[in-house]
Amino acid sequence: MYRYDEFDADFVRQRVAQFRNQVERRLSGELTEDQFKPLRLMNGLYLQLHAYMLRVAIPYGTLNSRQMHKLADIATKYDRGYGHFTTRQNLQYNWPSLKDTPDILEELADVEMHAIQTSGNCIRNVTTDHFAGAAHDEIADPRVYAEIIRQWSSLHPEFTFLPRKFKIAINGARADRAAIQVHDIGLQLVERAAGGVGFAVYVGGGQGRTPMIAKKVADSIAEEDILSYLEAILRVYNRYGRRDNKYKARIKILVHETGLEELKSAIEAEWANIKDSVLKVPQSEIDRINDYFAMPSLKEDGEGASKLALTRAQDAGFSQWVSQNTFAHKVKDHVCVTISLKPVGGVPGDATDKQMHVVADLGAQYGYDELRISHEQNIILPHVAKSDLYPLYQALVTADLAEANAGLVTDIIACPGLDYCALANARSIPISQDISNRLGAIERQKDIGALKIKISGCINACGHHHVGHIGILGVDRKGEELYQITLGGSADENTSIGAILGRGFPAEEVTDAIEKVIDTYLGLRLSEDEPFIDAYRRVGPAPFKEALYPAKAA
Amino acid sequence: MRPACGQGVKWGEMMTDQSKQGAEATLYRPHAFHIDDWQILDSEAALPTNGSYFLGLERALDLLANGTLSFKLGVIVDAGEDVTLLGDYLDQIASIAVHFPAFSDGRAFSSARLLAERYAYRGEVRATGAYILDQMPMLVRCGVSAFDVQDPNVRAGLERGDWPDVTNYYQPTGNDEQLVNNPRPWLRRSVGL
Repeated sequence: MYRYDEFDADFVRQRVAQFRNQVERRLSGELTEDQFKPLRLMNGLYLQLHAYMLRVAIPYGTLNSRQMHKLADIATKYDRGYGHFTTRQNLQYNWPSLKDTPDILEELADVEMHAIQTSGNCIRNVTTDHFAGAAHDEIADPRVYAEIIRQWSSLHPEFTFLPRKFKIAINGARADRAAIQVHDIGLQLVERAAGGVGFAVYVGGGQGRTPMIAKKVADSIAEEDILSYLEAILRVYNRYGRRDNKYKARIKILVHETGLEELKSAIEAEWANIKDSVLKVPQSEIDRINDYFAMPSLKEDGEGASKLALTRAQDAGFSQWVSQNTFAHKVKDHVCVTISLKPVGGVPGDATDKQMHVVADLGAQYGYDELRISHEQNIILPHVAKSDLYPLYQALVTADLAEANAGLVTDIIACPGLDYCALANARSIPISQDISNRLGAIERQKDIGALKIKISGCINACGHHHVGHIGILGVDRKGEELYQITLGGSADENTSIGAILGRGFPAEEVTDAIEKVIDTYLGLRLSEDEPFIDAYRRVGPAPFKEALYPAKAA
Repeated sequence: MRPACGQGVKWGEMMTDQSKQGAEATLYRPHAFHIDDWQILDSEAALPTNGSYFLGLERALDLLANGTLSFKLGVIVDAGEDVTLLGDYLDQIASIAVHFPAFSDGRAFSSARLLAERYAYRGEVRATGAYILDQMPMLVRCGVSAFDVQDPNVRAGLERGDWPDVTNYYQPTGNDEQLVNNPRPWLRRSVGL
């Protein structure tokens, strides 16, 4: 993985010193909260319902065991012994005190981490496929470009006060596991006709109150041109994006209101001016960054596959975990492992300090010291030899981290909701827990199959409900928390936005409604091989509406 | 003229004698506040015959296209206005004010950078309006060479010598090129002052 050199280390130290000065000015009263707000937001510090919240960047979701240990230590020392992994591959601490935040950032800097640009109207942490560098279906490793973009976008002097936040996602595999079409910019690595790799560029996707699927603006931008092309898009957005209404300020609205063709020509015109500037990325730099992301020297594990078959035959729980929580690796005798942070009835994405230490140790022991955070709020060990799976699994069982539900109905994405968030209208976590408890029996989960439930506690859609196969949106109706159900969303290479099924349900009826939707699906699927999303696309919303709103249908 | 950043000028470092300038000195350039000898011409007022005056963009464009200049011309470019409209006339403009209606409105960063880099404009680019202290180092990197300082917080910070810059730059702007004294592989630059 990428390692800081002196320059990077000094950059982060300077940033911490700058923030320490700002916090001191706030604590002494020289800065009012209004004046401090833009400054703290540039360092990932939010003021939530009950306390400050610090969002730590995990660039493109990649970290090593030393960094994971540090995250755990900070949770112990400055928080209440846990952290929350987010859909943007970050970690949030929910209870830091303001005076401690410079020290936390200092400790993070010790392990090459920071909270820069995890909030504010700037280019946020670049996200990518959690199996990057390991997945069997990869065209090129997206982390290389994510790192190049991270550096270019860090404290960019022109683009730090954009109309609104700006999220870039990169996918390097044939399957889209980075949800690129619901980002402000989505980059898909492609093989170029002329040889080498380039990027298909999508602009203007997003969720929030106006969900939109990104539009393709370029088929194949060369590697060396990626930064100048991004800079052209950002400049057009900075100059012409709406600033009169924060709900219409994302680039998706600019794309929508300007029209794709006109915007494309504005980007092209801007790009023509800067294409041959200092932003051209030299091959030597791409190679230099590539070296950081080289595959670790994987051990030979010729016997692994047969040993694995034997163990699976003897341990059904293990076998279920292997079939659900592993993913095919580039190298045959290895796999990618998903460590679920979705225990049945638990809080999606939360991990205790103790669990973080365990995962860090296991990553060091069995995972070549590489860990990832997925946008689905799980932890990934990208490289594990097949013969190491069983001891890894047993250790995970001991730490309550062996839930065999990756991609199943209890692998729910949920935002923090009204339990923490000042923006929320409704709670997300208890809804998620209730659904998880109801449907959590493993046989039932296996029967239901691949199904993504995503829950947001308000229209800002941090829980990605628009792209859930089943989405749940909490709204406030005259003081009552109501939950709308959407069906048919998806965030992969066939991205779609879910459609609202009908009127919302009060909290105590949501789980019944979800169960009805699922039972309806089970009743109409062509076979066990037709997953929920395919069945929904085949039959449309009508049978589900009839199940949930029988009086109206009659 | 553009301040000579390349010679190691640290913007926030105040020279003590000049930092004691009275409150009437509102124009900040490296090291010191200066008396601002520019005025804003009232939109209804007749064109002056001498002196230094800022005009709004529309009126300035009209004058540049149709008239002759009898005074030192400055142009106020509001956040929503297109600075590139001035592209053909830059040799006749002594100062361009890029305005912040609110600190959160970052369009002036792009306006300044376009002037500095696309047009190689060498007149004064001054920031006006509601920018905050913490934006000033980045504005300089985008090509701003002077600041109209009205906010007491900005003034207090500058008088104290605050210049909240992170001096390792991952992305050079045109202005940064002059600052390089520790070249890094490819893009990265450290001011290293």
